[in-house]
Amino acid sequence: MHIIIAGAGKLRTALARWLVSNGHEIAVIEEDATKCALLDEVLGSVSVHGSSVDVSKLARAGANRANVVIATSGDDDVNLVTCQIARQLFGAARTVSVVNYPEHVELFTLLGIDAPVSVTSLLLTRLQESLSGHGVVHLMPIANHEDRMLVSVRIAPSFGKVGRPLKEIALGEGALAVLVIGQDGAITLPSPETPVRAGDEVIVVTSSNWQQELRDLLVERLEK
Amino acid sequence: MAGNHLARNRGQEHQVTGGSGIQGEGPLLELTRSEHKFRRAVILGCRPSAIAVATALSEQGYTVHVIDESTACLDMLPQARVAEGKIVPLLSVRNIQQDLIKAEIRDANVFMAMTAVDTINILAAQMAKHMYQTPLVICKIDDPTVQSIYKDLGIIPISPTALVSQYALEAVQP
Repeated sequence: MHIIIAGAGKLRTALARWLVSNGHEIAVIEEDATKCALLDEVLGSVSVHGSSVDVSKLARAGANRANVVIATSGDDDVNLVTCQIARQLFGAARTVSVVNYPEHVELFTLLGIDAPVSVTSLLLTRLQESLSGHGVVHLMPIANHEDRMLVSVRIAPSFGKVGRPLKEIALGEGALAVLVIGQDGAITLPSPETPVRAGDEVIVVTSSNWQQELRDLLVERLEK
Repeated sequence: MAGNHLARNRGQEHQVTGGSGIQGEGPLLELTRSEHKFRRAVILGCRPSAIAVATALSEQGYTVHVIDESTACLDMLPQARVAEGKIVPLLSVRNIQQDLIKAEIRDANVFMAMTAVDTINILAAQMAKHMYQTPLVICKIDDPTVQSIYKDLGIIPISPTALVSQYALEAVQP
């Protein structure tokens, strides 16, 4: 795929490296000439020097054949307009944007940006979870199924069902344990009979409605 | 009833033609706005052109909220109008949504995005149009190529660059 990344930041560099290592052709639009040189040194000639809301720079980055345009800048207005130019003038198939102000997600969705990613909300949720000590960590939403998400549940030694098969834990309606990572790092595809061990990390696909229930259930069990 | 019907028709005129799932104006909002005794305008950006527009609108009976990040710029608004409450200067908190809410965007008949930055104007204009259903939205976009995109997206884009070059050419070739 040909993917254009527009915008600065550490996220951008990590994303660019990951895309290149996965065999994608990329172009990065960057306003700072020094950063352009650095990018080209690490990733080959990928940089286009200039602003991502400059139509000629998007054209030079190959916007007319881009499958995906990803806007990662710290300014929501720049990200929005980059995605809209890519869509309206170049017919980009998919536009993905970082959204810095969580309240802008609604507007971006309304305006047809395919995947607005609210960095602030993601970080906040993650931080809240690590502070709450519930043992449930939200890993990621599942694309195109907004009501579904991937969560990780760590089994505490005090958990009432330690040693019992997985099927005895009521994870909630529609939830499915898809992977168990043992304390030793061993990965198991769980069956309903798989025994639950203390220290296991269970990866569960759950619905957003059930996530709270799952959390309540675990907290309740843990406190017993 | 007839007035409301007209207002709704006008709303449909501005509706988006693309398939991006944007909804038209809600009849309820139109009703409250058309019954509003006073005409209200919100202007984002307090540069000379905005000051001229705000002054003219306030003389036509509008109450105009003007938002800017700089008190120095807001101080350039005509003080007599400000004292009368016909022009209301608002210092921006650098969050467009909060600024618009503070400027009572929900009651506004007109919104104009006139800052120096095209992208900020475009975000604010689309927010007013599609989240707050402001009936008339005008957006200053300097880049004529970018301006062309927004003609069909429910807002009225104005490009000073295009206007100035047009006037200059007309002056040379009358």
